Amino acid sequence: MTESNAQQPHWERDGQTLRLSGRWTLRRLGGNFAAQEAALRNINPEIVWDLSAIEALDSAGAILLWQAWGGQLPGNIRMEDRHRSIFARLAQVPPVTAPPRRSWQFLDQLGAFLIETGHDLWGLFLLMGALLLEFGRGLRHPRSFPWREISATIVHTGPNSLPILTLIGFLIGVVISFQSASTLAQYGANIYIVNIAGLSILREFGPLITAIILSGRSGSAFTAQIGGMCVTEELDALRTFGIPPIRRLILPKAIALALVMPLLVLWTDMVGLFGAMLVAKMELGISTGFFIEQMPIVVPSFNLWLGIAKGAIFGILIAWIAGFHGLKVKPNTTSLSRETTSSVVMSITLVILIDAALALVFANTGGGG
Amino acid sequence: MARPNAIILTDIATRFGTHWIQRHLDLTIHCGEILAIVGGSGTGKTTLLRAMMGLVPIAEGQMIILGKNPQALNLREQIALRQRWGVLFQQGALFSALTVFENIAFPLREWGHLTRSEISDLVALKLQMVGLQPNDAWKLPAELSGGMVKRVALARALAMEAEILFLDEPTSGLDPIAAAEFDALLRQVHRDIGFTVVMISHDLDSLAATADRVAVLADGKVLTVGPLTEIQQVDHPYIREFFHGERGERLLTSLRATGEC
Repeated sequence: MTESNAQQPHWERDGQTLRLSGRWTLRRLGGNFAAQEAALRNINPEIVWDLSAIEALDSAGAILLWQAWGGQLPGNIRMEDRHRSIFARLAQVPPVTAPPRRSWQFLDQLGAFLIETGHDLWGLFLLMGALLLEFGRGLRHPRSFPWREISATIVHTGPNSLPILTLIGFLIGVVISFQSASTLAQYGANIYIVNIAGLSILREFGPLITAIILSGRSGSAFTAQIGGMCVTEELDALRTFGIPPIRRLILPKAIALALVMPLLVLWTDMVGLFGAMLVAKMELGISTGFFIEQMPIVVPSFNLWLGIAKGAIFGILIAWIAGFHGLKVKPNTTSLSRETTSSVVMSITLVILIDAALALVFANTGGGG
Repeated sequence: MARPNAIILTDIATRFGTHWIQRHLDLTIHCGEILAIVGGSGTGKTTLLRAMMGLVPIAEGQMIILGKNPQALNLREQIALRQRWGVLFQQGALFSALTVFENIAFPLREWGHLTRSEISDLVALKLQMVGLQPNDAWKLPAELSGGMVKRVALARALAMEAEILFLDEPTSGLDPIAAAEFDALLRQVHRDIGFTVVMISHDLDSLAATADRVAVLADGKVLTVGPLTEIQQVDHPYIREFFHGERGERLLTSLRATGEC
């Protein structure tokens, strides 16, 4: 620091006069603020305050003096006019009151949560209705159907998700097979690995894993995209051209995912079974030929079709939830992140709920032998 | 004053990659003045402003700001220096997750040398200074009008008792009434506190109302600097268009009529 100590705010008493000098600024006072104020407060207020030697006085310095004086100018004071105006302003400052606090805030929040959940469910219901109407309208006017958006979404969600689905699907197949192997070997029931792996992967794990990966990967992207367009008023621009955002943004995504998800499920099934088959060969000595031959015999094809149908349902669900949350985004950064999070959480939850419901409905179908 | 000049730019150059925005640019900004930078799009007004704030590196040349050369300082001294100026960004750049109060208190809290009640007093003063009501303090930026966003941003820029205030198009996006109010507010706060203002503006009304001097950027250099009435005499295509286009003429005529010219 090049500035000398003389610039520190200080005062000296000369008979009945208190001469203040130095720089009474925020940066100089910082840290000693309260101490300085207390010291000044103890000085007899009848004294003559001489502020004319002060080198600089900013609002922080002025507040300090003002508080030391108890919120009014002392009777005897000498200062420059430019400083006087600062105190004149201080005299008018209304204090900032604490933010309004309500009692029973917990109930308040709970109520708000319940109401919002109700609104969300109703909004989801309305959005599904709008999607169906738009779909029907699209069938009647195929020319205005958003074909390009559908194919763009298929490219973004389909081939681009294959690497991650391959990795996860393969590992799940390996793990299922590996975990079952030791138990099966104990009972000498080695060949049942085909039933276990086939049934669990085709019926449950294939569609579930695909849906969960796609909610995280594409659902969040949809919400962020639609939400971002909401923030930049692009949705309003669309509406002014007479194009409902649901038709142009959400419907094509729902259709694209309904088409692409069954194919992705099929792919995940295949790599999962491949992983299971490799482990069956290594751990249980079941040849790949036997595995492939046995599969269609012991696992009814119903399971494959159910898994693929689930894929289509989950695809529509993901686009539906993601679109709903995207439209809910308000023009600020916190809203965008919150809606993206709830979009992913909600779609994964619903995927699992629907999966459980379907498991109950079809409990007696496709068990095989 | 020990420092008659707040910022001295000597032979400054800035660039994006291989594209030079400015070269051999000289500009001196006096302490306590309001200097406006004008120039067509692409002349690098914002880049120059960001270079002064230290957000864009200077490729060549030397900058002395508040008597110090930021390039020669270590990190701690640089941060201490940065706390001596405030910035009002074009869109306000208020933290949308924080309330108005928290936005203004933010630099004070981060500084860490003040207690809560002191911060609260300072924020109350700043709110009053920019003409906001105490009950605006708990609103979120999303609930504010464009003019209020600028006011809160100004209060935040001034929270640390800035010695230099950088304004990037302070009146853009405001209606003429709100813009005029903001100009008046800036003038008044400037008179009360006496900081240095460097602002970018295209708004001729705003320039006439606030700026002490105007610097015209063209061809990567400062074409001319001076009071508005002086620089409009300079013969250059950009200046001719800027001040002697239809809008400019109208304003200058009204200035002459009021005897300011």
